[in-house]
Amino acid sequence: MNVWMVATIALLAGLIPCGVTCLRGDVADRLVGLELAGAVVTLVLLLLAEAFGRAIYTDIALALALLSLAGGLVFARFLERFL
Amino acid sequence: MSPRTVAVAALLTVGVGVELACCLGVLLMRGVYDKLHFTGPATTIGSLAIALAVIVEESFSQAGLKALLVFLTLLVSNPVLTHATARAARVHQLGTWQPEAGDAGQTAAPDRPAPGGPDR
Repeated sequence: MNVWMVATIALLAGLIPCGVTCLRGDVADRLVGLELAGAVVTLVLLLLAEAFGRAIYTDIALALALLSLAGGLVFARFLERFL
Repeated sequence: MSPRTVAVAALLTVGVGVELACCLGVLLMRGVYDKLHFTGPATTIGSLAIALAVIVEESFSQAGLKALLVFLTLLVSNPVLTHATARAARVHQLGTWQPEAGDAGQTAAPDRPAPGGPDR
């Protein structure tokens, strides 16, 4: 259990407020919770790659960062057009 | 403890602390516009501190450069997402994103449609 794993576990606790935000409030509030959760999970994956000592795992964090941008834009457009 | 270990621990503490504070802020603020402010520090200060921690540990190796790339991606994507979300929330609430007669800075209802016109 190195310092990276400790930081990962601490950062994972931040997903709980994001999840609660996604469960209540207006639909736009929930979208904000989802977007922040995407950023937090990206950093969690970055820390996990360092904790396991595998540089190649960082690609997963990079892919999630790009896909959460695309997903957030799609959700925002859907909210704007159809809800 | 080497200076490098201390620097990594300090940067990780700052990064994780900022992220947790931002998560709490998103949970506690009321309304989508207040919540949106808290995604800013999470993707600038928090991700910069965590990426710097990786770079201090690994220097500019494969992992360090990819951490920098992740930070840059988050840095660029957050303003885009914030703008899109705020615009979507306004359209969701008001039906249009354009200013109305009663808004701040608006004197009267415009005689002609705004430049560009509605895009919906």
